[in-house]
Amino acid sequence: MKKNLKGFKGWFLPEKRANFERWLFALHRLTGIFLILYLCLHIFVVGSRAFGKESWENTMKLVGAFGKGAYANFVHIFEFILILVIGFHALNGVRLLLTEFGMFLGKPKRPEYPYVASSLKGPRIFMYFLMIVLFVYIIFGVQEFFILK
Amino acid sequence: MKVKFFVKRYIPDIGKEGFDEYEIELTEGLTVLDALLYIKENIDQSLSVRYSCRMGICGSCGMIINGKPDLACHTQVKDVVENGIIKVEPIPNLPLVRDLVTDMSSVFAKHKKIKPFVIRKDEKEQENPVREYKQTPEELLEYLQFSYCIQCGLCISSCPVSSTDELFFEPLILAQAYRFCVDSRDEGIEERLNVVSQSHGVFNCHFAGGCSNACPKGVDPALAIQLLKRLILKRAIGFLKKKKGADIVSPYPEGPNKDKIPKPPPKTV
Repeated sequence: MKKNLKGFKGWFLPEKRANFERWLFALHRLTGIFLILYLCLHIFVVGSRAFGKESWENTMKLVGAFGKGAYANFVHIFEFILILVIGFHALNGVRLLLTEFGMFLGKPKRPEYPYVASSLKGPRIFMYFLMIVLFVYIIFGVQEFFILK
Repeated sequence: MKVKFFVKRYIPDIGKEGFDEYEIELTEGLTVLDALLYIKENIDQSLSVRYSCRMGICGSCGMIINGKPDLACHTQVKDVVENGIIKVEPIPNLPLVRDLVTDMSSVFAKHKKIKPFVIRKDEKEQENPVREYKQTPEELLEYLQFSYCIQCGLCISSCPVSSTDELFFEPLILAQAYRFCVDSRDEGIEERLNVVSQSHGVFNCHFAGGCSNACPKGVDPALAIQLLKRLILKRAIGFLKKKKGADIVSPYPEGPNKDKIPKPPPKTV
């Protein structure tokens, strides 16, 4: 007998004709991992202040936040991606929190065929709304990062 | 029209793994299970497949057909065939015994843990019932949908949490836990919530909804799991009402005196 677990493939590669929420799950995991890695980097960078002013300024030069040239541009784009990731992760988190309190889910009923699960209807409409919020958020982000720069 | 079947094989005794190819004639009304049984009877007797009722009731023949989890017995070959090819694989995330046969014993063990039966405080009455418990149609609707579960395990195959966590209480188990928690006759909600709120329990689910999408019986396990989470959160903040199990229907009223009823006429034949 073998275990036959899908493993991490199961997180990121949904099966055929998978539902919308399944992709949100994959993206939520991916952004979550990204944020954890970023947090380590962030603590490392900010933590350098504890070793004195010189160490802090050297680190700042390294990440290029105050620097100029091609490297600074890379950090700028990275920060923009970070904003998108945080935006998605937070808004999807809001959806998960609200559904855990039983909101938007609908009530159990007799399934009538062709049946679409009620738990996949209400939260999805709410998620479309959150997507619009995310879109507006991205527009403001683009304006802030690239136009008003 | 000929259809090519690519069936995933796994025979641990001889170390066989990989896909085998079979070609069979597509006939009217041919289901995937029929096709597999045809292959077993006529082409390759070593193919293992589990089935029982052939009509979508027993839940034995769940498998991945052309990438989509479904019951083989109610999947028409002509509906799912793509370019004359059908690929059949066993359900992932469950231990594989042989070919398309998976081992469900770990699932049944978890099912036992959540006490899938009506628990009453008055056990004496429950063991020696006089009459049935009261239940309104509205109370029935609270859990009816979840009681249609046939434990085929298709929800497990599309659950991303089950794909990395063997100890996770699978969607079907959590749906059954909710089904008994909201049953108006039941008095064991506390015991069940204690089991499912542990680690690897209900809060490991992050609502991917794959289970509800895959379910062939319209059970909607994702809904049950979210509502189960709500019950636990309600209990944590002290808003869960103490539930008293449904009352027993009052005893039969005394009928009319049978002596006064006229007897039927004597038999003539």
